[in-house]
Amino acid sequence: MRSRAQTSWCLIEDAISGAIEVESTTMLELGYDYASCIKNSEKVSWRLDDVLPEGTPLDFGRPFLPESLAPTKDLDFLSEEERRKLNQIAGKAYLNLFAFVEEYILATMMQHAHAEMFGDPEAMRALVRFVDEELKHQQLFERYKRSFDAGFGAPVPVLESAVEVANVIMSHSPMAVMLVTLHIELMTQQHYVEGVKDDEGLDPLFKSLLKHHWLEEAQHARIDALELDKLARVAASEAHGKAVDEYFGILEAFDGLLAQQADTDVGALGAVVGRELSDAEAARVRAAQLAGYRRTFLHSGLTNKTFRGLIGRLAPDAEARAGVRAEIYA
Amino acid sequence: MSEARLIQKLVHVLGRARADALIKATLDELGEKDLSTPESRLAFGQGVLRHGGVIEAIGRSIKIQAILEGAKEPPPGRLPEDRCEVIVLSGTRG
Repeated sequence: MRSRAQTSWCLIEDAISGAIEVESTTMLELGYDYASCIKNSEKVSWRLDDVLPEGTPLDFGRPFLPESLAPTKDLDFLSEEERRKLNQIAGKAYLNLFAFVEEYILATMMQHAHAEMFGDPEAMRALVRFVDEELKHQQLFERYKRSFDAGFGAPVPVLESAVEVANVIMSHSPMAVMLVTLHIELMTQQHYVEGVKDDEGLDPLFKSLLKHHWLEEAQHARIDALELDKLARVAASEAHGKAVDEYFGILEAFDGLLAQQADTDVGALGAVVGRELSDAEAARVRAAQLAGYRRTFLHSGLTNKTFRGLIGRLAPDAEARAGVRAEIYA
Repeated sequence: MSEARLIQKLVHVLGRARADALIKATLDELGEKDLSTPESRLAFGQGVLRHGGVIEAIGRSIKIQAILEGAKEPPPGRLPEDRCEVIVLSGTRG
């Protein structure tokens, strides 16, 4: 039997010689690495002041979000202008919800970067860039919200409990948290590519914001997958299953948050249009907003092909469960 | 794998000889023989971080890595570091 003295030296020898394997194979079979994420990040990097100088006035003459993300066309009791206002209310809430989740993503990725300190310098650089970019996105969205509030003409309240939400999400296992993060980053890309990019009717500034967000989130999604892979490789298969369960639980909690935002929107619309909506009208507005948020934040992540492929590798039934859940939020 | 990442961090910063002394002394203090579980790596990180300076920073990094890999921090007052004396490092960077 080895003594402790022998053990420590053997550990070092094994670690250096490669007898103890250091991440040479990937469980999720990803075709990229941290170095390529850094390279892409450097290529697409942008400055906050170039994209949105502080105090930029907004043009409220066009919708901010496509009908697929903010469905208002069936609300026939609203005028065209009122529907556009509702769309813009959803636009502000959309950015706010991103700023919201970026709170926990920041904290999580800081932890992951800290865990890489003195370890893999490529991974650490990729993670630190990720954190810097997320902070920039938060500042971008906060700037936009200030411009929105200055020009919209009526107060539009949004949810403000970002820290509480971050606490709830981060109370789950790191693998579940990383699954939620991957879901969010992939859905962001889907929104821009499938709904926003080619819609010429949308406000150009809002489109530009989403484009710049998307450019950097593309790398973030890859880094999420690399981090998820790192965690999954050292965890037992029961832990994989538990993480998947927790992920679905977090989505349910997030759905509750979206319902709160939809309630808030009904009041905001009443203030903007200057009349009280009837109970039936308010219920239809609420239902339309909630359906839009669910499609945007839950359905699009759950149906993302890349996400489905990756979650399916963690637990045998995960992909089917994602499909069932996606139907509920469609 | 995680064990190797942990050791490589120490060797990278301290060199083999000092890393060996630190690992040996910390394992002795903890009564551990290996670092194969997240819990053992968490305890090891706690033990290492008591040294202060850059070694403390390595210890914190090891500890966070262990937590991300599933180790649970004991409730306050029952930290593994409570049973771990500060270890005097010997040896030189090699």
